[in-house]
Amino acid sequence: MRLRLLICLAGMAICVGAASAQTAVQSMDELYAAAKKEGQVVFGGAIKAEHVTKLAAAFNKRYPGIAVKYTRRSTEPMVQLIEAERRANRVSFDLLNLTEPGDVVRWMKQAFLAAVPLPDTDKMLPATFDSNGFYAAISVTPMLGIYNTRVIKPGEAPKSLKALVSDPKWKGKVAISRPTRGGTSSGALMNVIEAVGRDFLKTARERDILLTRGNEAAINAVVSGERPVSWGVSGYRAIEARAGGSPIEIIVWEEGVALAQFIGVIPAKAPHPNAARLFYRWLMTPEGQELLVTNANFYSPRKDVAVTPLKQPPLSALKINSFSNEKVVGEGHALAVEFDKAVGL
Amino acid sequence: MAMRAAIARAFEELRQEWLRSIIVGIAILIVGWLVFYPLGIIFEMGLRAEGGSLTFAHYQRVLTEPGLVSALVNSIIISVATTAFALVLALPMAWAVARTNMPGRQFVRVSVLVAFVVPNFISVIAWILLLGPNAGLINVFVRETFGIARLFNIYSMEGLVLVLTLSFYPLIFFAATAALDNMDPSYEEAAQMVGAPAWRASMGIALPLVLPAIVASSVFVFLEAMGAFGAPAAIGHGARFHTLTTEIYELFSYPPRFELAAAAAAPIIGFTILGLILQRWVLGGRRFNVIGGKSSAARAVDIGWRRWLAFGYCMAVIFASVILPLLILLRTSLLSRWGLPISWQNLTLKNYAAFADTSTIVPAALLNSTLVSAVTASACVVLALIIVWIVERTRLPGRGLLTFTSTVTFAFPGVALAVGFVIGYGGPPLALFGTIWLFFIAFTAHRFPFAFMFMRNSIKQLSSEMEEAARVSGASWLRSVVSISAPLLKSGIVAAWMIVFAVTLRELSMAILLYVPGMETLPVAIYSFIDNGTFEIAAAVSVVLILLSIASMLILRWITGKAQMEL
Repeated sequence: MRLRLLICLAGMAICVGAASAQTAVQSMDELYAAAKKEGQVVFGGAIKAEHVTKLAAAFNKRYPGIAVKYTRRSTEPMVQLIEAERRANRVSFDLLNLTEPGDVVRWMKQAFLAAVPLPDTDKMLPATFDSNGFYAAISVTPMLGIYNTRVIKPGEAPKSLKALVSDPKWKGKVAISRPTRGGTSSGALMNVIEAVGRDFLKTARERDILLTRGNEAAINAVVSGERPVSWGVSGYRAIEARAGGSPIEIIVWEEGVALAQFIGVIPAKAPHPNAARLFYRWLMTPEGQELLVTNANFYSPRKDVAVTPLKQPPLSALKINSFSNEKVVGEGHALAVEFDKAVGL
Repeated sequence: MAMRAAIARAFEELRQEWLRSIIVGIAILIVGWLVFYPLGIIFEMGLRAEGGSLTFAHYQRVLTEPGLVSALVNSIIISVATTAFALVLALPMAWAVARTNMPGRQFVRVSVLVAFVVPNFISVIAWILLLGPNAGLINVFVRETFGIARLFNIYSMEGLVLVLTLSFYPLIFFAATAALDNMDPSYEEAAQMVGAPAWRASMGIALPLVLPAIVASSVFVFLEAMGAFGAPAAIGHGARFHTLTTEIYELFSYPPRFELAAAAAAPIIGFTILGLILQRWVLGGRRFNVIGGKSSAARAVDIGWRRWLAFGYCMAVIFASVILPLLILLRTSLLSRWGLPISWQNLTLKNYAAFADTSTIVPAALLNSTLVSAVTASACVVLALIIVWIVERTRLPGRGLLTFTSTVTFAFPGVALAVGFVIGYGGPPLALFGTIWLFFIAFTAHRFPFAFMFMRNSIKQLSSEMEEAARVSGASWLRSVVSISAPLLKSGIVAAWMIVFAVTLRELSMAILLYVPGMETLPVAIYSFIDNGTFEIAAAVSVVLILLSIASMLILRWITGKAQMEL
């Protein structure tokens, strides 16, 4: 009798557990049915617009009737817009894609974000998702060094960060995206500091580093020859620029490269919450991830997605220095501010 | 019978006074609301601690925190230098164009207009491509030809002054040529008849008469330089210095400090007030009624061979401020991949196809920009006509305050002002954020000073005797304004409309915070493409934006006649 009761209770517990899991992670069909009524998803972020257009076409093929409206905006101005909207008690975006973990964590604490648990986080790279489901990296990219092949011969290119920031030969030769711009740039700075030590900040001003507004501008500074080297730019942009014929070559530093995350979040008061969840969840499926890799040249945070951008080596073949979002939040921004002061800003 | 007529006349006068009071009152209320509501919101924010309690800590930090203090000092140095160089560039040009027989005077006038409509956030890109210390085209040429390391480093405070000077000198040129054009030349001619050389006659007679316009426009150049954002942001990063506007912009970023940003905007308001006081002090109680009931055509002074010298000078300024940046933009817009050398393989027209591609934001941005600019210009001109009339033609108490109100937003950083609008119009009962109506309101508030300044300069030089004659002959106040003043001020009205239209067309600093998806304007589209790294499309949209500005001025010239184009 007692055994029967135990079996019965165990059965009930399994049923309740399954039911709660079902509630936590809605099925895609359920989401699609609710999303169709909303008709659209307003997506904003740092991914190039032409890449999202291709993703949206594939998404619409699988889930017709839901338009993807995309606004491309770098993380810093995007956060400004969101903060302005928050002041006005307004939420325009359903899904956001940012590179600054600091903002994501702050918004999570302020209950601005919705928890959208993903079904298979066990297949994701460590430290690329929040265990409570408030955020996850939609894509990742290594912060690669680059140099201008017209100005520097391949054999003469710097190989280590230590040489780059201490050898007088490279003084006045480096361009970077200003570290306070966002998580990608502050991650690259953290990588340098990890490699060469904090004392570098004392000499940073003498190095005459050209600071740009964003990674693309840093790449352009190298492509034009204004400064022939960068210690770390968004890998997907560098790969694209090189494939497009720009005279640059990639450097994977002896000390390793940082891995930047493009984080997806859904505001708690998103105007089209179901469409947002459906699109976000679809982006995180192997199908969505493969399209992100092949169209936008990112790497996937999913371990089961083998495809790499433009036939680049897999992440496992690169020396990656992975900084958790907590570390970037805790140290990255403070370091970026310190760097600003060190160079005179 | 006579009694009934007298009563009817008295009633009519009362009705007219009543009508006038209503129109004047509404105009004052609108301008006051447009300006003080967002400023009040910002000021109030500067006084709030994080918990909501009152504090002066933010204002204190502005004057003590090293980063903010150095940004303030940089802004002052840059603004003073920009104003000085703009005067040096603009005054000889204005005199040569308005008073001499220099060839190509019309070309110079139109070219300076073009220089004015090229936004500095676009021209700065051209100047970085030209004068980047290592890869700038001019520096490369100098290095390869003469072996000199570099001619000029654009990533410097001097570089920023160069870009801002070439962007803002048209303001002084417009004001000085307008004043010289409107001035009776007979005084100078009389001086020349008694043997004074042309330049001396101008210095001794014309200069004091056009001084109000020069002072007013110099103050505006100073304030425009204080409020500039695009060029300081592009150069300041590279040169590693901040101005007040770039510092304010950063205070909105991670972690956002709206309250400190609001307080940091206070020095700019302070400088605006000082500028207005300076204007008043310099102008004193003098009046400049040089347009009377009679008209006189200015006679070009023959300056002999020196006219070619003047022509060369004007062409050099125009080459630097218009032709060179436009050529660089055009070149970039025709490249399939920026950064690669020009070759047949790298040349394309596909960047312009964005205007026909509805999957991009460009077609909607073109429509939004045109609509917002036209509505803003019209609203500003109508309001300015009434407000300027009150300031210049009545003895109503508080005219000084009204003048201040009408000019205070001129140099206010658009980014900071936009925050006031976003918050002030974010929720009920004024929930206009995210609609085109907020663009109309915010841009009108920000750009109204342009209309006010141009209209005021025009009305200052218009004698009130004809208006008074019309009133004596029985015309109502409204009729005397509409039938007498407005036609005589047509040139000023058109000039004001054109200026507001052009500056609104290129407005970025406010639009960047006001826009939501679907509400992009052309400058926002350009900024987005630059941010996206697609310089080629950004350049193509910039070329079209500039062509649109030029076309609008040519259309107005065709509608209103040549004289009205002569600002």
